[in-house]
Amino acid sequence: MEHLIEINEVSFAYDQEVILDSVSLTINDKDFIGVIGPNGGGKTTLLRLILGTEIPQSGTITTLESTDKRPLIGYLPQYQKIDKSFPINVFDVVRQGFLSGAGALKRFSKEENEKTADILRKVGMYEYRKRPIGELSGGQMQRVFLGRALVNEPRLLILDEPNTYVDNQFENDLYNMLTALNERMAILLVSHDLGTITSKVKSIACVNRTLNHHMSNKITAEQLNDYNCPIQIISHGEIPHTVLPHHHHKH
Amino acid sequence: MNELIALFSYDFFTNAFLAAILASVTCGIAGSYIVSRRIVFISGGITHASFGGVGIAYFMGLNPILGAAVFGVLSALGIQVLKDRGKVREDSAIAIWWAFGMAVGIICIALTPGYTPNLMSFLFGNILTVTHFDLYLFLGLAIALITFFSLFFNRILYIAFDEDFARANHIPVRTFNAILISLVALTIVLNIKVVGIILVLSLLTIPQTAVNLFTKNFKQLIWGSSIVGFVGTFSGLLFSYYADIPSGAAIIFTLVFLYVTFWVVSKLKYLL
Repeated sequence: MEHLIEINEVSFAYDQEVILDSVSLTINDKDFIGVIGPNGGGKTTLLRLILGTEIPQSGTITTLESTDKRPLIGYLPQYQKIDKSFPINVFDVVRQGFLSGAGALKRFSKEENEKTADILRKVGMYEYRKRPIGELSGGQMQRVFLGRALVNEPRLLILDEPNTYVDNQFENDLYNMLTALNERMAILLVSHDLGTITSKVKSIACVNRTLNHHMSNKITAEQLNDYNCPIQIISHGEIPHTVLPHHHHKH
Repeated sequence: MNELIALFSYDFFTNAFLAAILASVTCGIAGSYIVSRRIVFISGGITHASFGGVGIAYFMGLNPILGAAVFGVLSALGIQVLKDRGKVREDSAIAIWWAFGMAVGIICIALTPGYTPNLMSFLFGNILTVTHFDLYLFLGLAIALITFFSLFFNRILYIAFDEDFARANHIPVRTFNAILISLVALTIVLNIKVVGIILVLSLLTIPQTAVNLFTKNFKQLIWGSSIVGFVGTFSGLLFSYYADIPSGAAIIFTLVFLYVTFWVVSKLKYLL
């Protein structure tokens, strides 16, 4: 199996505060990893290290050299981190996905414009292509950014809490799309909501200063405890999710 | 009308007219960038810091605009370094450069023996005193800005919109940021001659804010604010001539007037 990303004993600290302590994780082709952990546990830092926007103080991150035109990573940021008043329309946001690996004098080709239109249809935002980004709702904006992440067919799709502050419709559509996408690309999904992701993912990475890669999508409260990963297990009625296997409490 | 044509027979007026065009183009481009990117406050820091360069140049008997240009670019990059390396919060880093530059300027001018330059001309500017040398600098800057923004338009747009995404795509964000903020600093410094340190930021923000009422497209914002900037600057120039008031203040006044007009029109659009 092809290693897309290999994180090897990586540590990262802001000033004196250790965020990640010697974590290792290998992301292979066709993986679907759910990343969970408490707030402030280092999930975002882990993503930034994978994206290359932060450099680790120790350890190594090896990324696969892309052999074809597909870029290694497509990335869906948390939508509240986007400047909503920036003068840019939906079409131009999605087209940004073609920038990776392009020359500095990048001009967009006809083919790229057509692919942009295609992906906009797939995420259901084609009618909105000329709208300024700031006029969209949270869910619509997420669709646009998903389009940007996917337009160039990345090898690995990274989603940073896509289920935060958005409508249920988008969430349902997204989870249905992800299963199909997973046949073509690896997926790394960061979520604070374990109940929702476990039915879709293949394995779970618990991040809380350390990282434990649990090679199944079923995880018990005891295991979470062993992994030092105190998160709440929430079940939603509407959204498909795996009910955690029964376990017996010692009284 | 004849009187207007007669005005162009004066060298100082032709210079002022050319300065109005070049000011509008440079501020139209650089201003659209700082407004979209929300770095107006950084630009305020650069503006005031560049006064340090004015003072040093006077003290050493050099051209004050060149001094301001060097100091302005250094402070623009200095704010970044202080923030990245010194772990100083960005707004604090800006405030430090802001005050430090002004202090250096005041000290140097006080120490300069003999002739003390008129501080007022730097604080409030005067488009009628723009020299041929200033115009050449202005033209060079305008060409640099137009070339850089035409060649790298997509890069600039996407770095400004989502720096993290650009960085994740291995775009040299730091280099682009450094070049762009240096161009912003040079734009500010040259336009100080037109409206002065106190007022220069309005030249980079009022046209953009007005045009932004009608478009949410970066390219149109650049074109629109260059045009609005020129209309405001030139009519302000005429206003100052006929009303015999300082040109810098007159230009800002007409720009704000234009903004209010645009605002009213944008509201009427919904009513009709």
